[in-house]
Amino acid sequence: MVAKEMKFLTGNIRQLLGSGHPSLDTVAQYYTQGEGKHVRPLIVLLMSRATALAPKSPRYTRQSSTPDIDNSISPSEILSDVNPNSPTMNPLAHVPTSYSASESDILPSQRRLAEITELIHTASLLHDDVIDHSVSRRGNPSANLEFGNKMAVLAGDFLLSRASVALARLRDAEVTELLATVIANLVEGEFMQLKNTARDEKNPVWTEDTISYYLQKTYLKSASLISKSCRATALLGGSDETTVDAAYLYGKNLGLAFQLVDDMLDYTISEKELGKPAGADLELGLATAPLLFAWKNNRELGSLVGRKFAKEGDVARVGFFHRSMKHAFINDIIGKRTGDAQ
Amino acid sequence: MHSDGLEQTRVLAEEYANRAIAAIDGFPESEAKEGLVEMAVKTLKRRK
Repeated sequence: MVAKEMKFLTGNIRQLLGSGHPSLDTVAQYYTQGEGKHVRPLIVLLMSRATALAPKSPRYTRQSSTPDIDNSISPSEILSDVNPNSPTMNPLAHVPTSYSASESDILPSQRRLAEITELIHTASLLHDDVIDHSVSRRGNPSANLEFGNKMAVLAGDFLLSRASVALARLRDAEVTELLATVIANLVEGEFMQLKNTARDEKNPVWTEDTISYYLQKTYLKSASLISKSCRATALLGGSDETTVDAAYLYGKNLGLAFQLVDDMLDYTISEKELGKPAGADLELGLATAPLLFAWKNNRELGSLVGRKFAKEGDVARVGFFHRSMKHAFINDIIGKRTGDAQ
Repeated sequence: MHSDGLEQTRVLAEEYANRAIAAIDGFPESEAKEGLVEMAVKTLKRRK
């Protein structure tokens, strides 16, 4: 459906990441090599096409046919931001993109937004891996392990900067506001995640607020990028207010569902199948949804949550607890399926 | 007996996925819209 556009994605992203420094190039492009799932760009491209036929805002006037998303706003000699990969800086480096296909109903600005979402997401992976002391990603050594924390953090910053530059060149202040806020949200969500509960008590008691704190953190860390990029997609396409709000709600709910499933898989899927260590959240001291819901009816889990499972035997205790949970869970599902079949 | 933590997480994920699908219900029918619906359905079934 959007396979053609997806095919050019990685090449286009690398075009946005050229620098005057070879080792910066290496670290910055490190996570763009593997076959990532590119979920966020895929959503943006589908949303572009799905909203193309939806009603337009009365203020919308069709964009001029010559997109200037590759052109700087300030003179390039002032910007002093060397990018040998940029088509405007070096016509020889220009890799064919599918941008020229003028018959496409996906606008060049929307394709660029898809690339920006992947840049922001990749930057967050670089930073997350430093915070979590990760050792591998997608079957390869993680960037922090391969290049060290300093370069991994700086490369993540560089990705965010180039995402911001690309964003500015979309020349849409509302879209810039949305995506710049995503970056703030990612950081705030990461800060919230440093604690398991809002007040970070030693011996927390379960309340409804426990779940709302977790959901707020999850919105900021996971759903913000998807929801705000969906909204930005509709804005770039000139959609009316109803469509813009619908796109945002789709992204917000999908993002929350996505993260809840992620948190479940951390408990239910083996390391081999997941491609990253299973039970990693607990090892990091994180209480995610499955544990928070279980805590409601098992108050003794509170002290473990409070000390972030740091005491010897805590992870094993929850691990044992969850293994029995997992078996019961799977039995439940099998039970239901058998029930359905009868 | 302790399966309710995972079960409640699954139920909540399903609720959000359904809300995502409902949000774009008013979009004109298209392959892309179906693709967005499919993404929400697949989110619940994914294994990695």
